Amino acid sequence: MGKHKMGKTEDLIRTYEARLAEIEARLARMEGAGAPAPAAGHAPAARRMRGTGGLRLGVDVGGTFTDLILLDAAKGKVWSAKVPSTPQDSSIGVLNGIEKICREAGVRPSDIAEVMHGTTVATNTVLTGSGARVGLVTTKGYRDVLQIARSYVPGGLGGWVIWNKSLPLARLEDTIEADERIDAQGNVLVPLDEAALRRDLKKLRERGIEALTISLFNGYVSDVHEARVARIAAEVMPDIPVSTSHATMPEMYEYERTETTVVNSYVRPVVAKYVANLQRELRAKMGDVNLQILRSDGGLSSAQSAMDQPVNLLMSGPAGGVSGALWIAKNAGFKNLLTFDMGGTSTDVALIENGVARTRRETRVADVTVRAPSIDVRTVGAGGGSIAYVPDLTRALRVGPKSAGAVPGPAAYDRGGEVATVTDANVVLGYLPSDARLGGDMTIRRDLAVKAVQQVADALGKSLEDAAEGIVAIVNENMCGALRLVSVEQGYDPRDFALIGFGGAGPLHGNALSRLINAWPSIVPPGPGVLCAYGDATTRLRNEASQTFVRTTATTSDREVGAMLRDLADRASADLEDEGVPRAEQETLYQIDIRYQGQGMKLTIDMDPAALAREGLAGIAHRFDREHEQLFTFALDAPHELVGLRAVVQGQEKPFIGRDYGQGGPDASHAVVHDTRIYHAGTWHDARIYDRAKLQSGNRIHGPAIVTEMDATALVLPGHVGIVDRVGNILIWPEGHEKAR
Amino acid sequence: MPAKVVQSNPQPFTRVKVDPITLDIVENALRNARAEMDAVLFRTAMSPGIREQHDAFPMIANQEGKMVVGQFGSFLYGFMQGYQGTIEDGDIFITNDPYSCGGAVSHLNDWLLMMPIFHDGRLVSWAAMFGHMTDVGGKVPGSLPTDAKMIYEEGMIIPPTKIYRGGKLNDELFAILLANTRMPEWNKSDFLAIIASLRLAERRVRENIQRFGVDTYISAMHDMLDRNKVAMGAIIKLFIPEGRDKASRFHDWIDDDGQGNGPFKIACTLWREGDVAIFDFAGSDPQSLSSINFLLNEEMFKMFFGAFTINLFDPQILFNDGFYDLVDVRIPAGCILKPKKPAALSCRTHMLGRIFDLMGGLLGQGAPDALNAAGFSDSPHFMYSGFVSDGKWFQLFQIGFGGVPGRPVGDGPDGHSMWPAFTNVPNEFLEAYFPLRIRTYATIPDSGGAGLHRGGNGISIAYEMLEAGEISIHDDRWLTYPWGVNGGEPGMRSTKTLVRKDGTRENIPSKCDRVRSPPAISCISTPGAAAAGATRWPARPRRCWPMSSAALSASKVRAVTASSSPAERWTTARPTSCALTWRGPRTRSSSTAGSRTCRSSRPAPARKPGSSRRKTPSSSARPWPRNDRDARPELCAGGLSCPPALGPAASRADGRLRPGLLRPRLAALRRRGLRPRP
Repeated sequence: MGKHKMGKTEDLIRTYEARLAEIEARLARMEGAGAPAPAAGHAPAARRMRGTGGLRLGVDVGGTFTDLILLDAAKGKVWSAKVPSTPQDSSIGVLNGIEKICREAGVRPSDIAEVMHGTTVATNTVLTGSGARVGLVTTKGYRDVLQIARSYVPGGLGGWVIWNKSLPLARLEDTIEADERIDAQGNVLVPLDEAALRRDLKKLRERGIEALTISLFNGYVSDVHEARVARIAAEVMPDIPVSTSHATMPEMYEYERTETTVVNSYVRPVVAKYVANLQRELRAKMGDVNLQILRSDGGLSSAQSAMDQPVNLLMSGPAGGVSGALWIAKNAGFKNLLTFDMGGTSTDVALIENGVARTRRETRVADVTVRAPSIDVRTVGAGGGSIAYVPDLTRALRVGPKSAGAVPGPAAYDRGGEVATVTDANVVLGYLPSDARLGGDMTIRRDLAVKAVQQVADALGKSLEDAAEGIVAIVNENMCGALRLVSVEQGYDPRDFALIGFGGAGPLHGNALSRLINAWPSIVPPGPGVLCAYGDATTRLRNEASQTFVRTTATTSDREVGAMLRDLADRASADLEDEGVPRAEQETLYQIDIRYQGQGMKLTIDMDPAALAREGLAGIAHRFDREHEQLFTFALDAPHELVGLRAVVQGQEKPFIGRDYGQGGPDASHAVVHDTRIYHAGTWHDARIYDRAKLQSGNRIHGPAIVTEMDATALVLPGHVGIVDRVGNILIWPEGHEKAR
Repeated sequence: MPAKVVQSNPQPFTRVKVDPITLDIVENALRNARAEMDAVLFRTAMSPGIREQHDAFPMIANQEGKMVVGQFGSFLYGFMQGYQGTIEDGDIFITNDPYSCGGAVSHLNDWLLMMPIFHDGRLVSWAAMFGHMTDVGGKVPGSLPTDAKMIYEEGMIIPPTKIYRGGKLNDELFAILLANTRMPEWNKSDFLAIIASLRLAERRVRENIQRFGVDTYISAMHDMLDRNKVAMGAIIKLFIPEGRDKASRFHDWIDDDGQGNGPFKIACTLWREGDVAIFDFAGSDPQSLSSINFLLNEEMFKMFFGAFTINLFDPQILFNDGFYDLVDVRIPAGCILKPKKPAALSCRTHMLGRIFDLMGGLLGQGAPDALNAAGFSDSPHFMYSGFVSDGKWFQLFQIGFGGVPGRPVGDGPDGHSMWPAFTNVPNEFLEAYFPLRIRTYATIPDSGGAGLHRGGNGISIAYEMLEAGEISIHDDRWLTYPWGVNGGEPGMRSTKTLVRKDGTRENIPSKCDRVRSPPAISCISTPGAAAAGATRWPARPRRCWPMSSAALSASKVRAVTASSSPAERWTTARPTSCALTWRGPRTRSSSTAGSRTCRSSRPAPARKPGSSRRKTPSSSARPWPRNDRDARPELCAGGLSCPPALGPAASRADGRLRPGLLRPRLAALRRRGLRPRP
């Protein structure tokens, strides 16, 4: 007994020693001592390459994997790498990845000039509730602004019976009221009581808050009091980061503005620590590298502004995917695109029109909605891990939103999962063959998947295969609902769009979804699992400045609006210049928020400065009428009301770099791995499995077929054909479609 | 004679077998269509009531008019039975007349638009939506007079009428409608927004038919209705004991009608006969001569009942009309829930809200652990109108919220809506567009009852009116308390106070019109909610209260004693003696009356001869207690005459009932395979 125990302890010691050695080795490498030798023939860079000439690295940190893409613009080459994420400190995973990709590319880390990074650290902070303890300063009479929120209870009639409200991110006991008041025109009605404020702020400091939010009533019109409170706070609590609502989101609606600013404070210490840490480690390894973070709206921001306004990063992860899809689309010659990024627990969908992703002025993460611009990504709780079940009462088949997550995961992954998931259904149907690779180290057990799906089949009284097909059909329908929200609901016809599916599970469902909404072709990009990193690496630097400006068109003038927009553009442009983009390389776009006087919504009209100079306010109103009619079937002869003005300034587009996919004929048989069978539309079909790495452009893959690669599996349904284009995408068309010939 | 449906294609639909997965897909497609209808409406409507507060409700029904997706159940069947004319492709119907649609809309402000959807010459579906118009004429701005005696005083009545014929708007009729409102711009835009939503529903329905075929689509709608019937059949058997002798009884009160009369009782008895649940409202008070009447639509009540129960089992289900045959709602004609035309209806909103409490109290007797307490359960309205200094008319209609009850699943949220989809109006918006300043918008600490799961707090709002104008207020629960269950304490009641410019304070009634407002502040406190479950340990942490500033103390705001001027008919909003002794002269017709079941615990004060209005006893000189929960269970509806399981006093004495925990209970029910109890 004792001996046995001893043996165990020794094992443990050995394990620890091994780990320690690993860590020491890594530390040594990080300090540069053990950096991999440059590959033969690659001369050390004489000087750091800057801008478009240097090496660009895109990094996307996901829940399971960290993906990297390295682009060499000069040579037109691209490398990708995938390493496990390190949730306890993501930067370790990033550094491991950098090391791996540099080894593969035969370059030194110090050759990399720019690192573009999409991060979910802000999102996860909100999702896991691990943000800072936030203190809040409101105007007297408004301490409950977060408690009352908009009084909305989700669910239908009687929804309140089962709904529990989540706690606000700033606690009521950490909320103080400032005795002050500004009216809706910005006039001071009650001057700020500074003595009382100081006293209350001291109490807040003693309570142990870690970040402070100042959001005063009507603070969107004037920041005179917010700025004063911020100065006093800086004296009382110099170490605590302060966010003011006027600086974060100067827009009307007290709850939304306060919530947005509080979320900014909430994620700020975590994000700031992460970014600062990453920047420090990157510099240690790569010298004077330029770190940029992808924002929710698809723009890039400097590390510093990411640390100051982290609320703009909540959708940084999904935005990377959309940017990647944009990049793919541009190179494949598609301008109108629906994107869907299907992961383990959820699917993000977005719409790209004319090469531009649709954005909106709010971001949602779980229960939290903030007014920060983001790419209009809709998330549905449907992913590979979504659980299928049959409620006793209604005997309906439901899929999701509950998910098996990474642990225990789908039954087929053999990690203890026992309930049927979408992945299990895909395994049962043969879409996900048992020898598919999932980032290399996961095995798929069909027997376990069968066992799980059989439970659903029994509850439904159907055959195993039909139940599995039902699960896939339902999850497709849920995703289809999300695709409609971004397309049909916005007045777009999905038939005018191509569909691009990525993420681990996207290429499996893309073909079926294209069929549902009639969006062709269904595009499977190369490396669907690392598309987000592509997006990070290829995004332009972007900045914007905005202002609330509520005025009917009759009470303002072309000149006034023109001058304000020019000022905004100057401001945005100066910031971008500071971040290294000279004015000559900048493009400016104006955005005007406008509505009929009396309406609550607003539509955003895009105009370039030349068009505004030419058409003026009348042109804005006319464009609004047209869009209103397109979206809502009618236009009114009511007065037009401007709501907000915004100038968006962007850096120049990065040139394309891609792998050469050679030129092959229609015959793809050289890439066949082996034969298999899949179940579709009620019967089993003979199908072939192809290896993506061996496909050449021009090859045609006739469905039913399965295409496997490092990190994803694609399905071509019977009656469809996949054609490899010149940049390596597989374009799936219905057999007989005019463009498929 | 029912309406004649004109169809160019006489071929009947064939009922086909729809495989369960297609059925689920159609279900999701319709659910999405409804969400899209909402999205279009909220974005394009103009009145704050619809665009900010979402007081509008969409529906998609099958060709027979049964609701398949929607909120409040279908009224189309009744409309099709009652309409004397044709229903043709391209028609859209409008009505706001509660009496011609069996109460499907319950006051004239709700404009109901109904559109038949045709495909290939056959009627295949209906889309409908009603929305609350800020003004439809009548004697006061907002069209919700508290002193109406007949419905004609409440605005223009639109009987079911074709507003679109052959796809074309009847401009002249529309012009008449708009000419009869104080806010024609808003009504026009709201109307067009509803039409846009209906057209969207039409497109979706047609897309579905193209995708699945018309017979599959029609059959799928049938199947969805059937699915609800099966599910609800099981629930009815589970919750409701069979036989009249085992009936549950419950009643609650509406405090007054704004005219010095009240309280008004609504009573209901529930039992089961075979598969059918029977709700019998006999014992409710007769209809009132004032406007507190509520024309309760039987179908809507069924929907309430269904939504209440099915939410606990499969919240994802697309809830619809399918189970309606399993519920029998009996409302005696001439009672306050089924008044006869032309009874006034403009204060009906409180009765509508109180239905939640009534339902909770009734159903809870079958499942005490799944029992919710009472909430604010009325609909606090604030209306303010007048002319700004440049002569322009302004008019605001705003709905307020209070405490949501403590429930077995947790504490009640503070100042939230108990109605689906509703949201509040941002105060910055109000200040930017109306001559208003909102000085306070906060919850009232501890106005929710204490208990294992505390009730939500009410809201205190202080409006400062900057222009001379008139305000109207509707609220309730100023007299009776939101009742607690299983030993949870009741919630705090509501108050209304007017502070004149010279600093004088005056309590005003909870329902009143034409309060002239030279610049003044109106403080409105909405009711809190009661708690579910006794506090078994000293104090579950309640709302914290960090402020020590006296000015912020809610108790100060409400510690207003009566300082009445003789001109005011109300001396205080809160009689502090046992309020149930206070009963004004009954203006209701006694001929139809059932006997009142209300028993007062104290003798009624002598009534002055000739006085048609009543003052409350003047014991209100006592300062109002800060915590308005000093155990007067006799004022809780449940404490009066309901079964002991519900009354807070009774259940405190009876230690048998333990704090409810819903989930284990439900798990146990599921394990039992949802079989009815022996």
